Amino acid sequence: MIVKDYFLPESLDEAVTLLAERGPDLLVMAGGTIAMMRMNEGHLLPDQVMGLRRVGLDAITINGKLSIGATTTLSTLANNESVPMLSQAARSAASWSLRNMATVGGNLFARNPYGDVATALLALNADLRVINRNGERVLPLADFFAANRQLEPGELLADILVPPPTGQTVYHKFGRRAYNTPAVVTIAAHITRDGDSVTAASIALNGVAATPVRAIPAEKMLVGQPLNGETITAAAQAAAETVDPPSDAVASGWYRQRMVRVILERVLTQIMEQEQ
Amino acid sequence: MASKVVSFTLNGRETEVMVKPLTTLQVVLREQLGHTATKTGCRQGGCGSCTVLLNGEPVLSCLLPAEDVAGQQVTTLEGLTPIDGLHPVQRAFFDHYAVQCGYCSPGMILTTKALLDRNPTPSREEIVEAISGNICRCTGYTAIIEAVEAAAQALKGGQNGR
Ligand SMILES: Cc1cc2nc3c(=O)[nH]c(=O)nc-3n(C[C@H](O)[C@H](O)[C@H](O)COP(=O)(O)OP(=O)(O)OC[C@H]3O[C@@H](n4cnc5c(N)ncnc54)[C@H](O)[C@@H]3O)c2cc1C
Ligand code: FES
Ligand code: FES
Repeated sequence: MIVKDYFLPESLDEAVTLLAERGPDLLVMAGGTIAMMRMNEGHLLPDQVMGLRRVGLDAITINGKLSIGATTTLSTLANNESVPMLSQAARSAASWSLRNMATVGGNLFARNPYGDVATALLALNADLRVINRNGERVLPLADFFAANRQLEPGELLADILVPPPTGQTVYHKFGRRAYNTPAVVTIAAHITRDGDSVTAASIALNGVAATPVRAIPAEKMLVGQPLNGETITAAAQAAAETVDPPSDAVASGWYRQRMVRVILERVLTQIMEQEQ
Repeated sequence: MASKVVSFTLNGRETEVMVKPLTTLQVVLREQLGHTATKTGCRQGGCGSCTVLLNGEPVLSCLLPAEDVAGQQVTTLEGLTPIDGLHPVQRAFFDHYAVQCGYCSPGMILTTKALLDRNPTPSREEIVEAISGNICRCTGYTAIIEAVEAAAQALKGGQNGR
């Protein structure tokens, strides 16, 4: 490794100023579990790197919305029970030591089939607060994924804003081992019901495309319907039919597509059987 | 390429090292400080052989820039081992044949120490979860899990480690 400069700014201001001055050649790193690994491997050979461990974005606060600082570690989120689906998603990722380093912001940049927390955040309709030297903007996480995770030059991800869930949530990561395993598929669902019938459905899938995606056809089929064996089977079938998952060392696309159906059926059944 | 002086507490001792930009803690420990209990396996975060404790929490030293630990407490296996013998966790690994080639052992033992500090009576499931980031290619894990259970018993029995 022949990095010339390693910066550890002490504030967000200092970090965005450095980024503005140094431009896109400055590699941004939060927990480093992706970036350092790629540098160790020689897949990334930057001249200059900026670490975000000291910028002070590592807190979770609640003020109407839940606000998760981008450099909050997965361990911190796992131990915060304000939104159970998020702590569960954080706990499902990697190993203890890795979760002590990996950040929630970095998880949004992790390549498929990683992105366990990102999947839960997508189901919860999270927004991103992004900041540069001149100001900030808020964009939906779904738009960030649709734009293939591109931020504008000079921008840093500052926090993730999560509206409190109004309905029932279930998270299911299906891997080949119980712990510390990449996902075959991950499904996060947020379903709101009024009496018998579903009034809002948000279902996020991971392991099936380049980024986590919403299962829009399945969501549409559920709204206005009761949850029962028939509607659940139909929605799970629709979700499986609309994805074309990649094959990799973890699982084949063929298997993943079938597991989308099986796991979504289990997730929706769990919601049906839960108390509202 | 400006090197920097980094000061941190290593196994209870104030330590100062001169590091090149982005040198990992793993390289500093092994190559600059001669603390070779911390191993180098994958350098990808996948094997856990480079595990050290940072302020008591397990982290992977292959992914951690040394500059990031300035002012903090780092514990390696060298720091766990008393001058005159073995730490109870080491003793349990030894007694239960949880060490074959030994490559995973420093990481396994430090992770176990951190687990038992937080949870003195872990279930088998909690042990498996805690060590799931530490790969062992020799033992098949059963002996290690039994060693962790024995270490928990020993520590509870007042055989206090440091
Ligand atoms: C062995 C191993 C197992 C893993 N297992 C899992 C798993 O089970 N589930 C899972 O989801 N992931 C897993 N991962 C992937 C990864 O560790 C996590 O996704 C983690 O959350 C990434 O966060 P980080 O802070 O370490 O990323 P970093 O490496 O710090 O960041 C990666 C890139 O993201 C961008 N970035 C990060 N933060 C910001 C920011 N605030 N602003 C702008 N850009 C930013 C930068 O371009 C940066 O280079 C695993 C990784 C390894 C090595
Ligand atoms: S060498 Fe650090 S995890 Fe393998
Ligand atoms: S004893 Fe050889 S890797 Fe565990």
